[in-house]
Amino acid sequence: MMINPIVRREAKTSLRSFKMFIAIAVYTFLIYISGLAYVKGVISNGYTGLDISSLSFVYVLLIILQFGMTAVLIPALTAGAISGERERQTLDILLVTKMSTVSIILGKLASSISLFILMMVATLPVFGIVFFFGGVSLIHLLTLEIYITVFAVMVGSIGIFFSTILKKTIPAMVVTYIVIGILCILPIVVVAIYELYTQRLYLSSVSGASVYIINSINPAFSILNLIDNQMGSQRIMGMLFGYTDNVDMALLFLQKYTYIINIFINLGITALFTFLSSKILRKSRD
Amino acid sequence: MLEITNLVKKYGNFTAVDNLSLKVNKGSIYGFVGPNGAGKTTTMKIISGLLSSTSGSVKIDGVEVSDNPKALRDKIGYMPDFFGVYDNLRVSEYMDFYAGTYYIPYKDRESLIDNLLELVDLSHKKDSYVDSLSRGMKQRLCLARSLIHDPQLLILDEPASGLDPRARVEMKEILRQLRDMGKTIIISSHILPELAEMCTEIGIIDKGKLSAQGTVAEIMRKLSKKRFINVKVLENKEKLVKILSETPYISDITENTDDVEFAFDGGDVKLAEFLRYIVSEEVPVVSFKEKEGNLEEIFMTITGGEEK
Repeated sequence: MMINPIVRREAKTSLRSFKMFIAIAVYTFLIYISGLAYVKGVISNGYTGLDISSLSFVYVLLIILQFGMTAVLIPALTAGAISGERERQTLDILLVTKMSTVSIILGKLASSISLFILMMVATLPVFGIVFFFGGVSLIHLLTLEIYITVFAVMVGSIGIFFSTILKKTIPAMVVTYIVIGILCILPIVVVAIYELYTQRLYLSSVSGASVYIINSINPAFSILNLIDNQMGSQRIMGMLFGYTDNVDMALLFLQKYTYIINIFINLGITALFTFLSSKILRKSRD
Repeated sequence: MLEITNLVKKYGNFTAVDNLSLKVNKGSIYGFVGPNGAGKTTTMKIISGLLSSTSGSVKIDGVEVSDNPKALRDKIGYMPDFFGVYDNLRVSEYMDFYAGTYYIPYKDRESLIDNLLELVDLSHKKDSYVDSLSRGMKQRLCLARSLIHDPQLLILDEPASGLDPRARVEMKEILRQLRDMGKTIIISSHILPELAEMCTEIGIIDKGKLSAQGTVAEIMRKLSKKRFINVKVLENKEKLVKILSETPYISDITENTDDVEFAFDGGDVKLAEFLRYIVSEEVPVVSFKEKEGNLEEIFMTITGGEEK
């Protein structure tokens, strides 16, 4: 089987670049420092034994850190995918080859994500510390990594889309950050407006289900939902949106599966943006 | 091999290519000459499938480019006027990458890359980084890259631009070898003399229109305002000059130490008749030849002397 030539080439060129070395070093350093600092604090806080709840906090912190760094790093890795080829004057040469535009886009996406996966693998030992002391299962860790990877692919597809339609890399990166920001903030704003409106209308608290439904598109909300599920409580959601006594089947279902729904939504967004990018690139060729 | 009929490309109100028609036969080297902005690159991009035309037809081996661009990518090797290279990539890896984009099996690549690097005289740079090569070397590497899938038609947009004289000579030598290999080549330049000696045919484009087409000699004959003839005689130079000055279609007579030059206004038949006449007048002619016209001058005449 032939590997996508773009993936092969970018693996070589990226890993040889000093910029990539710095990116991997900074990413792993931050994750390691945060993880180790907390573990050190937990062990030397005067207790005779390990504080498992603090270790869970370390895990939550690491998830949030990894999620945040994904949202920051992936646009930087993908926003130059096509615009970079244009700026380097290599796009025309690539477009006259036999590669289809879908292969070009998928190759670009795969190479960016493979670099990110490399970073993720490099930080696995930190997660292993939490896993080693207990409190988090292997399934939890795997679910988290799958979620983060799908999120990275979705952000990557948006980055490549803007890299295809915008001529320059920097504007493509900025617009990708804005879109990801909107995706994480807009549903919360919608929920806030909805809550205010319905509370005034019915003078009672709305069902929490609407919060979950509207935010199932929101990756930031979904990662918190994943954390809540892995910690076996609804503590974060309760803190953010208030607790409701009105727990029905629908709410229970959404509390349990919103992050899974979000995985499918992210895959859908990825498919849509990959299709659009390839279509636009084909238009520029034909 | 290539047939373009009434090709038009418009960008809004601006017409980049205006009703252009040309035919390139298999195995020929077609020089596409014109000033900057004349429409050469646009036409070449349309042939390569990188741009769509507003109207008209471009056929390669009888197949319309817009109907089946994917199938025609096998037949076309394209070298753009401006191109970049990837950082942190060795010459052999650069070639391997493009071999991959044409789905050439891994097992065939090494020998193919070696052969192509030898053709462009870059074998010794196989393990060097592409971004460390000189401009001439990069041009040659890009040419080797365009040959990776053994295309029949090569579209080379200004391959010699920005090269020093030595690199130009090397590029010309490679193009000659490609011609001997039976490739059909379309090569553009904004400098006519640069192309003249290696092209079997030339098309001069200006403001999107093809203003002249044919062999270099044909174009010069067609477009030169005057034909300059050089005659060397054994003796009786004075008599020759007298005949020349009395002939109505002859002007600009210049008497040199060994020969006489004059401008002749007429075709080949008239010229042969004139030669017969001076010989019959017992002027001992040693040589009688037409002077090569000034290509640069012709080019400026055709394009209105305007560099855009």
